[in-house]
Amino acid sequence: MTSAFAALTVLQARYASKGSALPPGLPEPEYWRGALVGIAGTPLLVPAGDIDAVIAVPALTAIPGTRNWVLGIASHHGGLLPIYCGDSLFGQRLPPGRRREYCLVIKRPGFHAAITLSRVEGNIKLPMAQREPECPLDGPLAACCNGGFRQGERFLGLLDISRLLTDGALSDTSARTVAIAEDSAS
Amino acid sequence: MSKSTSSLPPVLGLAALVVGLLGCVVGLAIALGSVAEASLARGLLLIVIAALVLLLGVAGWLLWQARAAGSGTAASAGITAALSRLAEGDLTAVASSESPATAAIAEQLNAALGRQRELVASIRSPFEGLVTELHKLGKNSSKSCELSATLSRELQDAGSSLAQDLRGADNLTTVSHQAREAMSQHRQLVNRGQALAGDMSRASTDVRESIQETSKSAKRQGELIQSVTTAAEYIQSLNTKISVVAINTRIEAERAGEHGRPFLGIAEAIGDLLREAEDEGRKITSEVRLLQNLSAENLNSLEHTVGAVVTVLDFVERIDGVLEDINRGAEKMLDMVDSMGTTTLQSAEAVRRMNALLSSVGEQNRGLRESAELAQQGVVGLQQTLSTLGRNLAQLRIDGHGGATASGPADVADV
Repeated sequence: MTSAFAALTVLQARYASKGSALPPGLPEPEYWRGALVGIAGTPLLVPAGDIDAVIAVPALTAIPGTRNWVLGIASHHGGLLPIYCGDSLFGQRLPPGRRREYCLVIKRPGFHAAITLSRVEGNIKLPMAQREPECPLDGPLAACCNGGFRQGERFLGLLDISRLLTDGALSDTSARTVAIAEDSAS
Repeated sequence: MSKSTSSLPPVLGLAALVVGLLGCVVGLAIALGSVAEASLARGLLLIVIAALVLLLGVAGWLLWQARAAGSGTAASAGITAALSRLAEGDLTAVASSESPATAAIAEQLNAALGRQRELVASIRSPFEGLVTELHKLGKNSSKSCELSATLSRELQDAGSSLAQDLRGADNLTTVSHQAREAMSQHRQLVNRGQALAGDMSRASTDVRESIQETSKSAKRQGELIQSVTTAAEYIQSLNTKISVVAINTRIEAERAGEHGRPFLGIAEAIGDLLREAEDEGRKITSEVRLLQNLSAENLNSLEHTVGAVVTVLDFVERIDGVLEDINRGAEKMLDMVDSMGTTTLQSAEAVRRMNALLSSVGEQNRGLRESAELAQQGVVGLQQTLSTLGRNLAQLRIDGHGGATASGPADVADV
């Protein structure tokens, strides 16, 4: 047995000394990883680091005097979580009759809220080389996207949460500002 | 008077002869008176004297008769003249006689002439009416002949018309027979149509039941497809839930750092499986929806087909009713055609009878025409006879100026 192993070792050494070296491997492509969801019917890519969680829309408590895209407030992990309607917020339209089932929970410093999703397609991994800097989308979502990827015939906008927070669209949720001012003046 | 004087000498001669003979006899008797033995001769002489006296008497009587005869001839001259005029046709003659022996004759003759004048006048007066009536009779007979000829022509025209009517009735009879045959064929066709409508109704009922069964199967198929769709949607919602779980798993694995790396692989594997499952589920859902749409379309088509079959059934029932109505109408028309045929036969029979009657009337008219012609010929003959009689009567004068004969020949000429 020893001689056999020795013979094989010698054979390996001899081939190793006489054989050519392996070609260098191709560099592993860099992928963008995140989740593919749909807000107001528009497919959007959300980086995994920007997502706190994807949850089913919990029981809501309506908040009077808020804008129509503020669906209400819900309890989430022991705290209060505002739920915004993605369809009204970005689609500029009234919520459809069908109730959305899931919402995307975003937790940033100073901002903790959830936006209803029209679709949840799951995790996705796209080559970074295919990322397009321009976003051909229209409407309010175009200002919140930072480029995107083209998948087949559809364009997947890359949702930038920072742009969303700095856009100011979510900063004012009250619908009775003027009326309150008039009431206080009177 | 001249005749009486001419007959005197023979009488005188005869008387002289008788006187001479008588003188001879007396002389003889005187001579014989002296002879005794002449008694026998005296007897004979007496006998001769007696015979001579008798002869003398006879001669005297004859002479008286001759004288009387001489005076009668003179008296009968008026009678003779009257008879001569009577022989010439003059009934106005008057017989006259101075002789008592012929006066009675003349009187009787005048009476007879008067009676004859009255007779001729009585003959002449109805003769004018007879001429007028005969004239009318001739005209009527001529009119009868013309009317008979006209009637004959009209009868011929009526016969021609009746012959045409008879041909028309025969043609109508033929047409009614043909119509009856056509109506019989029509009824057979209608019955066949009713049988076809019945078959069509039964077939439509079968089709409707089959389609209803198929519709039930299609509904069941739709329910199954709906169930499959529900299951596919449920699977899709499960996929969505799994996607959510995979996303949250990845998020939690990244939060866990190095310890969560295996969960990253699990999350990626779940994501890959989910993508495949979603692709297949999407295909299944799409095909199930397509199947559902097809099933709905099939169901809708079946419902339309059922409606169409029901409509066809309704139409078939209507067609059946219409065919029944047509059949009843055909029966009525057949009855009418039969009635028309019977009426036509009766009409043809009536036309034949009328034609026979017209022929009989024609024959009778022909006989009447012949009779009228004969009557006309008789009237003509009678007219000729009356003309002759008129001319003959015109020769008889019954008045002095002959007025009766003036109108008579004119009437005769008219006749």
